[in-house]
Amino acid sequence: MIEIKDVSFTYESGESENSLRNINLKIKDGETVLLCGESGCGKTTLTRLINGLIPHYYNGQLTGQIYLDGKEVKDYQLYQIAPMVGSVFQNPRTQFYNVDTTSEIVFGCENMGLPVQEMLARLENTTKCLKLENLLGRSLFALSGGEKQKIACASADAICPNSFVLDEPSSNLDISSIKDLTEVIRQWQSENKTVIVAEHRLYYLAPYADRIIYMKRGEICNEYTREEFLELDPKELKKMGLRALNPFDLMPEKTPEANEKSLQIDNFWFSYEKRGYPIVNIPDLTLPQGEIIGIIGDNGAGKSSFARCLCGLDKSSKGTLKLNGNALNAKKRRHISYMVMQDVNHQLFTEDVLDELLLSMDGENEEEDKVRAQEILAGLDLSDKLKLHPMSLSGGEKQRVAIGSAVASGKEIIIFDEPTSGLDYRHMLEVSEKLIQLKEMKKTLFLITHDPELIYKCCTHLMFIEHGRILWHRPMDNEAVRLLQEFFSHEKGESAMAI
Amino acid sequence: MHMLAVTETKGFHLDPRTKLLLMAVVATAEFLYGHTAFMLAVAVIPFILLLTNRQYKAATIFIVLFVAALVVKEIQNSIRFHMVVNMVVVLLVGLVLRLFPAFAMGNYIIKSTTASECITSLSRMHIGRNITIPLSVLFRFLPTMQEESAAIKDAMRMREIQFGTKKFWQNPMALLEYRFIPLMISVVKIGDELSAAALTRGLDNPADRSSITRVGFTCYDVIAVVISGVMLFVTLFIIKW
Amino acid sequence: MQKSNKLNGKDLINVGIYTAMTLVIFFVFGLLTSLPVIYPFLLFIWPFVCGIPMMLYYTKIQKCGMLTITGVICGLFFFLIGYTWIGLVGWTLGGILADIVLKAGQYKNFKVTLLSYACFCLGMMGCPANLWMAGQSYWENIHSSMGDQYAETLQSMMPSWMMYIGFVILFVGGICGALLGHKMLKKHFERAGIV
Repeated sequence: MIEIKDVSFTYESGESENSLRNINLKIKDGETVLLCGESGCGKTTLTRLINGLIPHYYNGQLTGQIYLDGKEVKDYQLYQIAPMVGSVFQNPRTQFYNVDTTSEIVFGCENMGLPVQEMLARLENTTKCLKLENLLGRSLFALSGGEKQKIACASADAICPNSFVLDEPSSNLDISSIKDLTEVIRQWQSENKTVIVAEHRLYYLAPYADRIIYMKRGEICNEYTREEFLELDPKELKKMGLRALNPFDLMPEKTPEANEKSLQIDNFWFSYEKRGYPIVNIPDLTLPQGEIIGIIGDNGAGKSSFARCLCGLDKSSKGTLKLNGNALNAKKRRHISYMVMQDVNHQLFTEDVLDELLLSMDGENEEEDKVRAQEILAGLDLSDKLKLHPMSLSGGEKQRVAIGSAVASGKEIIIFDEPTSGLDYRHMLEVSEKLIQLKEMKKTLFLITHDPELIYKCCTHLMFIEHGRILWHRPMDNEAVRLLQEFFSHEKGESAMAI
Repeated sequence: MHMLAVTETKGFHLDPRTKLLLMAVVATAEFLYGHTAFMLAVAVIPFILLLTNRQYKAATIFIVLFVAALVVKEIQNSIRFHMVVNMVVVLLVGLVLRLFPAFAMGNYIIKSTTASECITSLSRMHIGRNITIPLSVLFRFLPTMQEESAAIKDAMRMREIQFGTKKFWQNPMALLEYRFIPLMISVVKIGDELSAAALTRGLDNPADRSSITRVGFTCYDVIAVVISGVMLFVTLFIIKW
Repeated sequence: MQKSNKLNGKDLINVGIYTAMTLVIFFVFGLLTSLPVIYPFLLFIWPFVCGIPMMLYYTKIQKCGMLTITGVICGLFFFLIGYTWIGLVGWTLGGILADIVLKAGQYKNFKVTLLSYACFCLGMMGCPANLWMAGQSYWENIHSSMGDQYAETLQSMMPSWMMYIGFVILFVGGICGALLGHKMLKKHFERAGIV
């Protein structure tokens, strides 16, 4: 049993964001609790109270008591909490410690010093329960995000704790991996474990949660039973800042306009080895200019490789792109296209936001550039951040700085790779507004995403990639919506069969 | 790319401690170079080990270069090269003869040992957590840094921040800054999250760590050590040519 | 949360991370070490560029022993790639020395950090030191095995008094590197909020 009594917590930095106020919560053994709320509402902080990272790892001002099986968390050592509470975190890339999967699964057991026999038995059991047979003995670096997250779950599972705490586990996952994650959580439920999940995406978990806790500004605002929560009106959810419960069956909000201008792709071809199996193979494709084109497809279908080809990032990629009458090869495409990466940290270089934009300009006339950069930043709501270090900004702000740098350098084509992973409803809306704003500036946008809400919100075109080929592409009409929904149900369904 | 191998080798394999010993032997032997036979004997150790690990390409390149260097060394006194050419040749020959056996050995060790084998055998040698934990973190972070670095390189190319542009000539040092600072910031952030994840799985547990990885000496170790020992001994003291 | 002076998991992970960073940067700039011609320059470049990760590292060090471990691991690494025992010993000694200085200075001000890092850099001598430490027998070997010309090229590049000069260069490079690292710390890391 987990009991939280009158807990308030503020991080060392003293910010009110992510802090907690007067939390009282009892979680019974075997219960599944879903914590939801906007970013910064403190749900992640709450998970850290339970797995002991607060107060043992993150410093700050803590009052009140947290009891784990009747004893206060602060009286345990972290390694004593480890066998009681298993944790899974948001980012699959940052939470593994070993290089190979098998060592990673038994990592917790090794730390406890379990005898090898016992460890092997647990490894076998976990492998069987979570269906990991094909993942054993592999390099963690070669796995997809979804597979890494599965290993993270397995690593927590092998310790055999009574409770599991998951902090936004689906943030970086695609739809079929989320399905796998759901299976893992169902498995734990069947073993009568306590499961506590802080999450933005609600659709996959709400139908299985016993209790849904809605948090706001560090306080528990409301509690729902599953039935109550599922009954909530979609408008009500939006008002609460929560993601939709049925994101797959929405209606598109944007319609394509009549548009003569187009861009033409000729013979895009890319493969890792010479004369190897092509990862991208597009003989001929005409797409409209100045639209938001959603790129959908299974994991490993070639979406990212297509994007890299489009940006001219892979030197060995072949083919040309015809834009405004100019045929552009890979090298020239680099000049007109830009990709906002999923991990935007990689593409910010300078010491302040304004410099970041100036770096993208030609530097002919500094004063002029500065004025223009400030205008662009004002359009992105970043006027008050000009002098801050880009890395000190929030995720969404960083993304906007990256967008700003693309605009500043006059890129025509901007590609977004999963721009809304891990975002709550409000931030997702913000992103879609910025996308639409860019569209109004006549930029052509490509959008690789697994976020159905975002697709319905802003895409005007869709293209579907499979095995490196474009199977279909069309404006966002009824037929496209039908095909999209078919794709989603296939994503959800196929993995269910695989399991 | 990984610093170490990922999957364990089947068939002929050595305990990491034996590999360490052989490395020490090769590294030390480089100081004792005298006769051609001895040099060959030193080179044969990594060559054969590379072959046992099916690194045929590396083994071939190594042995061809090594033998070529030996031949050049033998004939260089009889042929008069131009002064500059001679200097370069002498440098290259020296490099190949002196450093390549150790490099080849290092290559073998890296490609044939998994990170967990390495850590496990170090703890068998009673080397404490103070070394094994940082070392395993190191193994984990080298590929991570490579991934991050590749992503940053891509981002730089998209921003057209690269060698030779006008911006570059205005401030060449900035290129280094752009390349390394985001990398370091990224790595530090990953490190913080990794620490939290590792601690929630009991990294700090003072109990003796156990390990699922099996390491131990086999007959292969004995064979390798005995053959290498005899070979080196014979060529060093008996056959002198 | 500084309960004890014993290194905990978080410290050890930090050691691993910063050692990895330093090694990578060291290696990127040191790929040409086999050409003796550039050794004198590398002796400055190494401590200079490694100053950046190391200064960030120093902000995380509150306990004795972390630099020694870094030294040992770097040494092990260079031992493994063929710099013999001297590589191992050199780096380890540099680490120990740096730890002692830092402890004596109580981890407080930047001057101590600077001095400690400069001492750490002295350990980098472990890489080229085999040229000198092996002494006479080594030169004889070089003469007989590599031919006189190679040995003379080496010797003219690196006369024996160069060893002491080498330490001086490393030390000065260490100081400059610490200053560079400190500048980067102020310019980027502190403002990015990761220190």
